[in-house]
Amino acid sequence: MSIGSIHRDSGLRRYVVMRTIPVALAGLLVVGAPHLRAENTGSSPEKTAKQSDAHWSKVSVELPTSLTPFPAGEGAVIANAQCLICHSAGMVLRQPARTQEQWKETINKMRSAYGAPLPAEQVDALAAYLSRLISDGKGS
Amino acid sequence: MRFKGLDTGVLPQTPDFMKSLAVDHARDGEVMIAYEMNGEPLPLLNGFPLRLVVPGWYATYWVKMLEDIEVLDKPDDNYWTSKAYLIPDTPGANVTPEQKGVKMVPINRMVPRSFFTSLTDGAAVGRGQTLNVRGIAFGGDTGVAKVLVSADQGRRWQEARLGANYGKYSFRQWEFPLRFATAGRQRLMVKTVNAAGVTQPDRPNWNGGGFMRNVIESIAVEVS
Repeated sequence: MSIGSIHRDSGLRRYVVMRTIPVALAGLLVVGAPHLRAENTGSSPEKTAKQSDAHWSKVSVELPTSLTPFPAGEGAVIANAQCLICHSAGMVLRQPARTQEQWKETINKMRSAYGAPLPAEQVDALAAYLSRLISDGKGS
Repeated sequence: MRFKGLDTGVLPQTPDFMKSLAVDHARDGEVMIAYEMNGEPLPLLNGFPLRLVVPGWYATYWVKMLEDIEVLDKPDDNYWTSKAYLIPDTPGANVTPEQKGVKMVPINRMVPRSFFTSLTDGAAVGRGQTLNVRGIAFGGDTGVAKVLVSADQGRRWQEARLGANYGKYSFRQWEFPLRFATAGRQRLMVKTVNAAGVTQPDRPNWNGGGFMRNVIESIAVEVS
């Protein structure tokens, strides 16, 4: 993951930064793993041999990232600042067409269920943008 | 029994990822915690270092980066069990978009599905040619009993030959030799019947989450 190419948009920046967290977690887990193994191996010598086969060494992964912003249009600024905090633009762009009312429902679910900090007064504008953007079968 | 993964949402307000299974299910001898896959540590994206494996149940239960197991003395009210991944409590989780007030339950056992893998939609095949059409099938929460192929819009179904059986939760390969006698567009269909006698529906099911879709797959071939 190239940190150098991060877009200046704050939503995108947060998005990319947060995507690095699983890597950090994995690092922590590697430290924790030998302890777990030591506990298990205490019980039987057979198990010790078997368990030692399961060497939990460090893993290195390339996490998929997306730096694609939402297409320009009225409301795109909101979409880039808010939606990309948690997920990619592609996840939205691949949705089937929804009416503005249906998008409002989805957006309000993001606010109430997942804690999206999108202000209530931006919901209508974002719903209008998304319903215009994905209206003619562009979404799969 | 509630299983919690180390993966979290980006925002602190996003509920931590947890899923619950009934105690008897978790202790049924099939549910397990995996620390290896094919003799190697799990890749990170597959849940390194520990992952819950719940055979026959949808992957939302296969908690990655398993962090803790909690025994609850009341029904789990956490978001991911009580509000997300809910399906209508109807046959095939099927309702109409207009239907309101349907009882919702956590998604659970998988349904059977089958696919073509040796041909893609719109593939060109030679007239008079015999092709060994192949694919995979799985039975969902039990094994595959048979795989059926139709080349006449589903009027007649013929049994495909099944590949090796690696266990009831495994993919099962299938193959069926088909001769394309007449030129033109021809539609092929495949469906499986699992060991419990459950098969795939002719029409797609519908529910708000798009869950448990297992309509019969079909592809077209161009015979010339």
